[in-house]
Amino acid sequence: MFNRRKWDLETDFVAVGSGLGGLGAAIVAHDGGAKVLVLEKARKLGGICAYSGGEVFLPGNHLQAAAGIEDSREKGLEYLRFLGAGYEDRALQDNLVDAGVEAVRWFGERAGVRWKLIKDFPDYYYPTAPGSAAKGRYLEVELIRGDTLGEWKRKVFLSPHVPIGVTHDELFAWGGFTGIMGWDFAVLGQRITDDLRGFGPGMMAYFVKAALIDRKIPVQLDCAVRELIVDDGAVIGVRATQGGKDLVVRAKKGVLLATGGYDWHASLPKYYEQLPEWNSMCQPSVEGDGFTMGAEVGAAVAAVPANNLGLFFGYHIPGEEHEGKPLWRGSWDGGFPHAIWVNAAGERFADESFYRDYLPKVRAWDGVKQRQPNFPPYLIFDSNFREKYPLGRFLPSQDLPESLVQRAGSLRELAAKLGVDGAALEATVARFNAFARDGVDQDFGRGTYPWASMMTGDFKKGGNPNLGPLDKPPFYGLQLRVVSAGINAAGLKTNEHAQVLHVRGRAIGGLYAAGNAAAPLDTGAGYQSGLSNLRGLVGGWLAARHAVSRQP
Amino acid sequence: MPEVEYSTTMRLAPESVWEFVRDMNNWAPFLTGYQGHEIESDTDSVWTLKGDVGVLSRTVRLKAHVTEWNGPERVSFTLVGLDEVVEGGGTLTIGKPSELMAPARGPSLWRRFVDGIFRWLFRAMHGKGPRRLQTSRADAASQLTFKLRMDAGGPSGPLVNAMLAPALKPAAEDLANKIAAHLETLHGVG
Repeated sequence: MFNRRKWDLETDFVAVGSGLGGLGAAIVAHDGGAKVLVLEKARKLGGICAYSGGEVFLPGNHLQAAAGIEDSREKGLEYLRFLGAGYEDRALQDNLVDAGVEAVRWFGERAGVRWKLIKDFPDYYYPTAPGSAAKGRYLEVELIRGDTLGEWKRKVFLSPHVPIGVTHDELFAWGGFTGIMGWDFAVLGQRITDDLRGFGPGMMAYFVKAALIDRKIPVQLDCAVRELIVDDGAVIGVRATQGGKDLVVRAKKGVLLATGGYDWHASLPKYYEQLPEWNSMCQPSVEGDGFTMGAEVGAAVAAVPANNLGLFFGYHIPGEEHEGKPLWRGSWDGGFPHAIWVNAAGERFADESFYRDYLPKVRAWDGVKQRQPNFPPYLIFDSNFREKYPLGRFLPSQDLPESLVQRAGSLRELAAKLGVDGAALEATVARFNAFARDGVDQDFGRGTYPWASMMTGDFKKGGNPNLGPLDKPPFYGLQLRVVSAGINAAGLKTNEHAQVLHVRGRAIGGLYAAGNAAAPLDTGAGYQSGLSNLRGLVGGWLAARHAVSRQP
Repeated sequence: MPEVEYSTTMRLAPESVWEFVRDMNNWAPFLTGYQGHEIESDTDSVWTLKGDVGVLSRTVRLKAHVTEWNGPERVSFTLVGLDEVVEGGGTLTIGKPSELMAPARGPSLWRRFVDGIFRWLFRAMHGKGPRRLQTSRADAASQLTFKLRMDAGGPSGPLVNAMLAPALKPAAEDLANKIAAHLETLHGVG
């Protein structure tokens, strides 16, 4: 029997992972009277949330009302149902809004998280989707000083993907991503010197402070949980390894798998994501551990259509690494004016400014030719683009490395270098340039969605913010690669308490999953930024509240 | 503009130190993040280094040009980024320990604390350099001082400089200490 096992540690609640789900749950369980332990496989805290934009998407949040912005639970759910497209579990989806509103308010009041609304930031599908809103549903945090984390200050991930030390509102006011030359770099530099954190790193700083500084919740870093310990069908502890030694921990009330998705797993992306390659923006520690351990104890796995996820395409700039692995950067550049995406046939196939449109189209399957004709996509741009806009970290007019980008005096020459049909590319660009002159993309409607325009458009140039001709040589191009933001299609199936379900349908006692470790049945077939962070927050909140009320 | 200076003393005559330092092939591998270097001429070389800029590691190529070759006392050089908008320079100075080189009043407690944190972080990221106790002033026969400055240009310069600054001090300290440790071992005075 397991009660004779020699436990190295005994506690009530173990959070496996220190992202938003893990630390949020740890805080709630602690305040519910439980003894809590956080085990983190990486050498730093914060998980994928710390790499993210730090947005939480929550219709009907309390700050909307305070700002006089009209919204409702019903309207929010109408929008979420549109996203789910019938693939959602409605009870779980309701939870996102209902528990989300409660949790966000609680973390603000009890855990010191200083939420703020992102100003005038529309839903992805506004204005076309039912229930969509023009503003008020995105939350982020106020900037926070790294100094507030004491000795943990350097043990929390900072993101290589988002600007640190700035809020969304400031960034948009400075001109957004196309307007990088208008950013206040002196202010940004000073804030980095002062270690002011916003976006995902700011969000996680609040949660690390609340958990480790204010509540002194113990945490083990470099500690990989390898196995769930089960007795009589219920999870009663975990076996972890740390420094080559086993650490066997008893969890009297529950274990939460908040391990993220499986981006760095050797085979799971291939089985579930329907693309022939997979690269990740996430930390290399995101290897699907929760998925594997859950399956080991009989957990049900569920998946939604793979177009739900937060997937980008992008590139690796030679020489850039993070956590000892190549750094993959997501590309937003295709939606900037003077740029398009084409397939190998030299044809456009989607609205390049709106990744919800191009993602499923990249995946589209030609059943006669037995291949994906739009994979891989190629980013094509001209010298107008180079003079005005950045490409990744390369500022306008800064030299681009030849190992990343091909350059040619004509479109046909560029096409030959890339392996794209040259005559078709010339025709495609001529057609696109005509759209750019008219300000209307008759093929794919670039510039239709205000969200996409805020992210990739240039409002200073006038006219359609996402359209500009490719008419100034030299021309540039590169093959884009799959770059995942860690939001996967499959995960462990959970119920309304975030309990992991067994393949036989019952809840597995003592086992919970939150965030990307749980199947995204609460979002269904669609996605909207800020939902992953909300899923982590809500999953952790539900799991902790259920676990603390559970008798060991 | 981020600029740092670090000094260390050795139980070796300045001439012995110069003999080693004068050939950059000798100490190039001691540079933080050293990946390789190519000598182009007596005064020019290209260095490939992997260093931490902000939250990621980046491989950079820097062209070094020696502007002053004044043995056995001083080497000065400039640096220009080949792939980055960055320029800088530095000086390796060899001399006898002097009061001038040892300021009567040390850096503030706060400054030492901040430097200590950066050194600790640097070692956590790059591994420990050679462990070495500073030679006492009575034993010291020479002093090696390394000055380094880097300045990112372009509109994003202030941002890049803010990210570079924490890495420079440990880099200067690491190079000076590694040269000193190597020489003392070589001459059996460590």
